[in-house]
Amino acid sequence: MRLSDRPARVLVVDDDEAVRTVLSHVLADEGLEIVGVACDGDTAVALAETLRPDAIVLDVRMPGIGGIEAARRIRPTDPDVRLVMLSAYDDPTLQQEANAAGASSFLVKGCALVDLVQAVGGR
Amino acid sequence: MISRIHRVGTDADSPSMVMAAPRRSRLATMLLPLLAAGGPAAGAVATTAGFHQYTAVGCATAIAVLLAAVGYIYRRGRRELAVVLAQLEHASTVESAEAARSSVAAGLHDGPIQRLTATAFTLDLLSNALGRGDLAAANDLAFRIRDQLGTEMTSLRQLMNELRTPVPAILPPNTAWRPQPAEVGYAPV
Repeated sequence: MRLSDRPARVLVVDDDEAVRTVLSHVLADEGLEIVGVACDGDTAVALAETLRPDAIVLDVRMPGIGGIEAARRIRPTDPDVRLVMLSAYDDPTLQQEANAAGASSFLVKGCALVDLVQAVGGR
Repeated sequence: MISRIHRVGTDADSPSMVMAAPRRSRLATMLLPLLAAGGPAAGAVATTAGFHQYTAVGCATAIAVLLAAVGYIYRRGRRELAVVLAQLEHASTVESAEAARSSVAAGLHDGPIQRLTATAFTLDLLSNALGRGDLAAANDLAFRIRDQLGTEMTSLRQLMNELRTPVPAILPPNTAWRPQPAEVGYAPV
């Protein structure tokens, strides 16, 4: 059961270790609870099933299945999870694909932190 | 083809005989050198094989027509082959350019964009630390950002050098498609 008064539980997925680490730190600094990190889409799908996070920050381009395919697999198993796509590509076509896959929001890397926190559901 | 000539030559009542005979004569006249060389031989072969009704001139004419057809097909084939080779060369050039562009795009995604993303988030952390008045953490984060930018500049410099270096110089000598110095007009490093 998810409680609205507790910090959102977030799974961070990015193949770049530096981004993964600092993204986890900055989201934790914003009062969110980081429940797990993953470096590829397959691991993200598995962790989403076991951890049942409130939100998942997904990189789009990753080894193996990318973020969009991961979103496509996660969405049917958890209709309520917020899937935040975080991509290096500012590409409308990619954004449409992400939306079709069930993404809740699509942000470009380098976006304002407040937008990311808002998308994840921190405040 | 030979059997058609035979039919025309023996069926005197056929209307086509009237039209075909002069054409055959013209061909024979035009191909006299060939007839001189190949006619007797072809006639001998035909006679040996039991086709006594064939004349040497008829056989030689047939051979000449056959050779002309082969020549036409050969020339046409060469032209078509040249076109296909040109198309393949163009496709190969386009493919190489696309591969290079994709490689640079992937390199930018996996390198500078990721590290700048990390740096941007670290700046957010620095901002939060300053907001809390945590100067020690802010100082640590400022040094980390400085390191990240230095690493990134080194990486970009390396990428620039690779892009500026001619392809043959950065490929191993035994690479199959490595252009030879004579082809590219300069000596490799």
